[in-house]
Amino acid sequence: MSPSLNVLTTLLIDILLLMALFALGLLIVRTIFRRSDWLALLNLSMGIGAGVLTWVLFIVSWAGIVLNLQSLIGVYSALIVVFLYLSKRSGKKTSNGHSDNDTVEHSSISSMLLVNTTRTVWVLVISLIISSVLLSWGLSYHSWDGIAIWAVKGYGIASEGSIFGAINWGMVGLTFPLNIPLQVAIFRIVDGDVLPGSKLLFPAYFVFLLVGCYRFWLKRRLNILLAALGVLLISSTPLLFTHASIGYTNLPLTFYLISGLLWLIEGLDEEALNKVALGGLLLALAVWTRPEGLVLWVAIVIGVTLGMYVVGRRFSLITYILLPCLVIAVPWFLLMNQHYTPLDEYEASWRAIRGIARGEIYWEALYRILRHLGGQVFRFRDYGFLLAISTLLFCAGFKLKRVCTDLVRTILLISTVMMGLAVVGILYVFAYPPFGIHEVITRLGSDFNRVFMPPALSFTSLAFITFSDFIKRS
Amino acid sequence: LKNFIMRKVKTEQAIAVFLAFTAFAAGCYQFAVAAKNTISLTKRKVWVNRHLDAISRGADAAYGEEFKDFISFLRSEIPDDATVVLLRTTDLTPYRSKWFMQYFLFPRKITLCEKGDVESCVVMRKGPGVYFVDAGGFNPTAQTIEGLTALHFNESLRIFNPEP
Repeated sequence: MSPSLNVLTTLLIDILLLMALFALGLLIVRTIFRRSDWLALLNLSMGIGAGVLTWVLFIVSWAGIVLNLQSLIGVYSALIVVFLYLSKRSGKKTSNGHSDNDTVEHSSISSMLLVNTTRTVWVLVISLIISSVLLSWGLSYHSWDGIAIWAVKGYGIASEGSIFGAINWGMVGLTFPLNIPLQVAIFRIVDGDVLPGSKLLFPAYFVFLLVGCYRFWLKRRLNILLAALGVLLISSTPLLFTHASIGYTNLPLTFYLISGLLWLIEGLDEEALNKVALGGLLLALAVWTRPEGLVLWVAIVIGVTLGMYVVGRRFSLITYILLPCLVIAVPWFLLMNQHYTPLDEYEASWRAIRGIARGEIYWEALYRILRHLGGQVFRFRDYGFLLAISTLLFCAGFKLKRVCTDLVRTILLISTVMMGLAVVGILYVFAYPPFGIHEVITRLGSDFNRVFMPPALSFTSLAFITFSDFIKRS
Repeated sequence: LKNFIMRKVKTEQAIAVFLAFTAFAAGCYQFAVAAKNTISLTKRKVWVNRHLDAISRGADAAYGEEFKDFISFLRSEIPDDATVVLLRTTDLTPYRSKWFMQYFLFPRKITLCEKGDVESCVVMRKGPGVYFVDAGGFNPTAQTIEGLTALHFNESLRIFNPEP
């Protein structure tokens, strides 16, 4: 077979593999939320399909079954059969329901100018998505974490046929969750990841994140042009666009957290149990994606609880948020505890907790972090104009009374603040000895901006609906 | 005219239009920056390397052409089942990191010499199937490299192969 034909065959296999993950996710989403609209399916299917499959593979491998093509096909087929059956059952129960499409209202735009502007915006967004796919595939794995953690762990797992391959291959042993390494391992097992097909996962998460924000804005009755502008602003933000192609897992984490938060809010607002369950599942998969996922999960749960309290609504659906996290995270933490590799992050956290208990506060570190955060609003390099524009839109439409009475805005605002505080906390813990202020400054330059992605996007989601209020008022 | 404008255009409407336009302009500017970077990277790293495998493309994008060629050299000279020892006599990051080299030399086993005692590290570890990567700064005695063959990639980069 000629090399170009080989490439085409592998590309076809990779696309089929992505479609298979999408199909599994589609069945799971249809099982939980029968009346989902096509934007919801596009937003959720691949992330949920890939996350659930990797978690089951993790359990299967822990049980001693070798991870190879046969076991992969077996597990995938079993999941398809189970969710096909459950999906049919849930279909019978809700067969008289109508599609969720009915509730997505598109504001009418009469002016041709607006229609053409909207089309232009979509052309720009699609160009960015194509560029991210091209760069992701063309540059292969070329950045530190992508190479030294995520890709090599996936290859190690595939080569040894076990999740314990992650102990010897790649940094940090078994201390980082295995969602992304197992997704990479699936590509390695199926076609050797020669393109590498696993790099297509990252632009895919980028697209599904954009779809999630767009759908949320449409559901909040934003003008289509304004929602499209929001998508353009997010997709062209330098840090986010770069992360769609470098193989770091901050973007997949942001996808799980933001999609989970938005679905949770929608479910709580409509008192729809299935949407809350979907939100809970996505947030649990965030814990299964990166170590700081758990900290941000706690921040969101606090944000949601406080938000419900502020608007005076009873929060009886907490089980649907806690249960998926317990099911997914507990086995992982049990395994991690057995094969614990000492990490600076964990040591710093314990030292900080002990220091705070003694009343030691490092004000200079806090000042430096907050000054850096404030600087991001005006500095183009990482967040472009995203934070500046979001701040302007938020300030224009902000009404305290509305925020205190409307559940969506309240939860989004409090969750954004809680996630922001959590990110500040993740960095602040390094202020304590033996690390100190120099470690904080180093990490401000290397880690802070990418860890700040979830609160930044949560704030943008809020800013656009606040601005939409302003437009409606004026 | 002034009265006409004042009557027709409310301040809030003007602010809303201004902000929406600002968001559009900001998005377009960000798009232009992203497009410029994409075109530059595509020309320099994607299009010229389109015939290469994933490892070589990644090596070039990470540390440039010399690193890419050296990785290809290592992959062709060292068998898949070999153990590769990084001497770490240089400060150049890619030649010092076990995890980084694990990816580029996969599935070869990668180990490191302890800092400062390279000579005894080589003496202790040399044997069948063990290859040493020297990225500069290693001046061994003849006794240390007895039983090894030096294979030069260029003036500063070389490997020591076990003699058959």
